[in-house]
Amino acid sequence: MSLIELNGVAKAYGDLLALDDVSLSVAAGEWLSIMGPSGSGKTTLMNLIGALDTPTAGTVVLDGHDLSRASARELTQIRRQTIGLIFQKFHLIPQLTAIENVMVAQYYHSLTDRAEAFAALERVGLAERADHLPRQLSGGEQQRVCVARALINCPKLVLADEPTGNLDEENEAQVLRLFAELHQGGTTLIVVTHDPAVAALGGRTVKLSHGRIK
Amino acid sequence: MARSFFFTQLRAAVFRRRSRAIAAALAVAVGTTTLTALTSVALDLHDQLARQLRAYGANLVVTAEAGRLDAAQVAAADTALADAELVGQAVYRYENAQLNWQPVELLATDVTAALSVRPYWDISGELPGANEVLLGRDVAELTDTGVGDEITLLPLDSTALTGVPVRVAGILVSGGAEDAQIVANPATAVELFGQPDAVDLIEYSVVGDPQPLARALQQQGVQAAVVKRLEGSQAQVQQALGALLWLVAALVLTLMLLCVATTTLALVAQRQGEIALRKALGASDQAVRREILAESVTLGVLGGVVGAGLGLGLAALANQQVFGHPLAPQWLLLPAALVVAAGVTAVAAWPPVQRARRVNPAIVLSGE
Ligand SMILES: Nc1ncnc2c1ncn2[C@@H]1O[C@H](COP(=O)(O)OP(=O)(O)O)[C@@H](O)[C@H]1O
Ligand SMILES: [Mg+2]
Repeated sequence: MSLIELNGVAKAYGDLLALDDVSLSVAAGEWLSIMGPSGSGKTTLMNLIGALDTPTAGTVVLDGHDLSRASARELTQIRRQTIGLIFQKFHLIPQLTAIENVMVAQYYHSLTDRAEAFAALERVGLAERADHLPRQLSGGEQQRVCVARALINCPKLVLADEPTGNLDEENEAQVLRLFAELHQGGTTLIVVTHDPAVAALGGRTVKLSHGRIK
Repeated sequence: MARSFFFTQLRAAVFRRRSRAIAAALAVAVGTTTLTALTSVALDLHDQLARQLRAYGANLVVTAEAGRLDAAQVAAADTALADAELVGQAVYRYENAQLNWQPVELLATDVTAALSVRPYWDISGELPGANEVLLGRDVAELTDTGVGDEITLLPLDSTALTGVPVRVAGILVSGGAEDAQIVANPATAVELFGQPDAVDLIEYSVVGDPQPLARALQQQGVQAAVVKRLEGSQAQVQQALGALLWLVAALVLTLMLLCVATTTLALVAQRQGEIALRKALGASDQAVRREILAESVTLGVLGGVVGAGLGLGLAALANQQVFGHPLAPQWLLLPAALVVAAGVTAVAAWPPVQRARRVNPAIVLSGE
């Protein structure tokens, strides 16, 4: 059974058609890579799958919910329950410590649990950095906090938009190892990347060009 | 657990983003300071003005051209004023005395009579009975003497070792020369200086125009001065000043509102990314609104506490400078200022909350 079904999806920003007639099916537990030149619509696609935005035309069905018909409140609910997000620029909240940044995701999801958040940081190798503020962490460490935050609520789907774009080799390897663990645990992964080696880790690669799947 | 994390985040926003938080709190603090100070001066305006204007309780003052009034002059004054309607009248005698080997001016009068023409006398303690005196505030401070103490008075030129013992019945604050004087009963003055009929000054509080009386007295070689009363204009002055103060207060309130709204709006604008992220993580609009409101009201209350305290202090200082009289702090203004500060920040947070509601979570991915 597929976790994600896109059917004839289009997304227009004014006159600009960022996505054009995209149909795509992603099975539960799949690791999908998305490639394509800059401006080809990769992030727009992630926004639609991630319930962060709604399509101009077509349908997006995620885990049985038709996102194209959902209200803003329902989209929030779906994001909270189903999705973990990993960003190229980490997006940690600057005034919160590493562990608090993880707990924010728990807080909006259900209840905070410090021990559980600490375990997530341990899993990404940051136990001793739990009480550091983001600015006291390296880029690789910040990205691992971001990963810990994405997996804390055990989401069915993890979306990563160029997660290793800002990392050195060592940190990239570490993050990818975490992805492999998630994949083995049955989490569905969609990873946007420019790096063919990273894309090759996925079971399938979708290529976008000018808003269309090639 | 969830509740405690709400406060963890609130603390972080206020204390770990200090420079921004301070900017917002400062706007509130400055506003509250001004408001509290203005309100507390405005509330006390009536009493202060009355205190000032009552200083002109007497409207006809009789003195000799030179030296003391002689018996004939006193009699002339009595005759001239026999038919006048009087609110008050008091006879005074000035003498130079010494207290603890220091020269001090002694004012001898019947204090009850004096109060009828000098209603601004503020006496703490009791009116002096036999062998009792009032100490001007400055004298009391200088000699470290208080109500109930025994002091010994001597004429200034006396070299005697024992003087006249008197008890301090009360401390007198007038804001005028009396603060540096000792006020004694006429009998005490006679005991010290003799001359039972000595009179330096007579004050009358006459109903109506004292001008004709003054002229009549002057023809008999008595110096009679008319003191213009301001009573009539007091109400108007007070009304004008009061209206002005309230106007300025309203203006300050508006400015504070704008200032806080702008600061909070800037705060939210700066944190659009953070708000988008929170929404992407599943924060509802209500959750975001709650966080922004809590943060700005907290900053408002912090600023309000500082501002209200400073405001009361400032008002007391200003009052001391302008009226020479301390202002009793109006403690009720503290909670009132806090409520206003919290209210203003809550209202001011409304546009930023609306703006935060419109933040699209998708920008967190598309970003920059
Ligand atoms: N919010 C937006 N408003 C207007 N145009 C946008 C917006 N987001 C993306 N676009 C445009 O849509 C196209 C696809 O963008 P995007 O999905 O971010 O591409 P990619 O992630 O592949 O680089 C680009 O031309 C981009 O300029
Ligand atoms: Mg992109």
